[in-house]
Amino acid sequence: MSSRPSAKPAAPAPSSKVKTLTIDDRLVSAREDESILDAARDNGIQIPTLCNLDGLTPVGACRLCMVEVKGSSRLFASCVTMVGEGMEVVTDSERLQKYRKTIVELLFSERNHVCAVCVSNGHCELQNLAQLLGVTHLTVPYLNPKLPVDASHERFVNDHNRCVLCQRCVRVCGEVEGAHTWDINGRGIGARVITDLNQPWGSSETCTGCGKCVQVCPTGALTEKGKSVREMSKRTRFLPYLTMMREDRSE
Amino acid sequence: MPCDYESLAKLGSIMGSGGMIVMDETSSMVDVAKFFMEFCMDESCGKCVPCRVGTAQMHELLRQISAGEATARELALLEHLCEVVKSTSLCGLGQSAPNPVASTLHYFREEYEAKIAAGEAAAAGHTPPAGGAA
Repeated sequence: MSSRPSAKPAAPAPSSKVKTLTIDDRLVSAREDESILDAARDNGIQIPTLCNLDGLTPVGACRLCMVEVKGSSRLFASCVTMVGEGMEVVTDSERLQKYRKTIVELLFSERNHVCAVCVSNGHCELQNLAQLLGVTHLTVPYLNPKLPVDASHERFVNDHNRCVLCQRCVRVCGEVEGAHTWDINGRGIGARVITDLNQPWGSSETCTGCGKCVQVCPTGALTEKGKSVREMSKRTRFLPYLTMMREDRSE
Repeated sequence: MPCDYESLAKLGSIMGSGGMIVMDETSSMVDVAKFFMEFCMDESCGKCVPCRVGTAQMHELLRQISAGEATARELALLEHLCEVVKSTSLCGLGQSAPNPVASTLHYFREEYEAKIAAGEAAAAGHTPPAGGAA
């Protein structure tokens, strides 16, 4: 056998099995430990996502990646559903489009997403989703909650008005940085991201100031200070690189 | 009627807390649905979007309908949200949260329509509440 290239190994590990399935009428093969979402993306089929991020544990929270699987009336979140032999998956249908559109509308209605004055305007994943799904206005009423902005950190800002509770900050801080500064406080419509024991970010004793949470945040909720409208673009590419390097080292 | 899982499921109810409640004809079915929606909204953990925001939105719509502030548009939206929340929620709480609404709409739709008629009449006399654009 020839030596393996240093890039991502193309051949599956000897222990993992390969499953064949159809995604949108295309016959594809995937490792048995792969999610439907990864299998689809490997084959150039795009499924909208928000909470999912390459390099973090999937949580299936945003429900935008829901797909239909033939033989079941239920829908499945493709980021947390593993491929199965002979599965017939539909990633795009009128029903799914309708649901995804409503979910994006619900997110916009939940907090105060005023794009025109947002530092992330033009670089926002929620905004991109709205454009992709054709959300031009809301059919649901705005809830207009009164939410605070935490600008106590010397370099970063946490604006609850833009938060979509995707938990990317919580996951990257716990799983990658290992600090676990972020968490969720409260529940339901009252849920908020918090630092440490719900104290100002600036007074957090666990925060290392690495800024990973800011870079993975899909909206203008976590941003760098000193950015004006449209100036805050995020860099998420470090994450798959970091996880790949760690996997290589642990092998 | 036998009190078991299958018999209750046939009637569109479920076994468990609040699966069977006795009330008289003076109870407003819209308010009953609102009561259960408030419970679901309070109990939602907030992890998934449809349950977290959908139950809050449905509760607000039921409040508007109950108060005679809603039109046919709000009722249609409520029915749409029932479908989305039921189909896309992560766990059983969100998946079953719309049940009381769907069930009261099925058996007591005229009570909703009477509230809507009051809302339409009120709206005809005033400018409709602003919907606003994104």
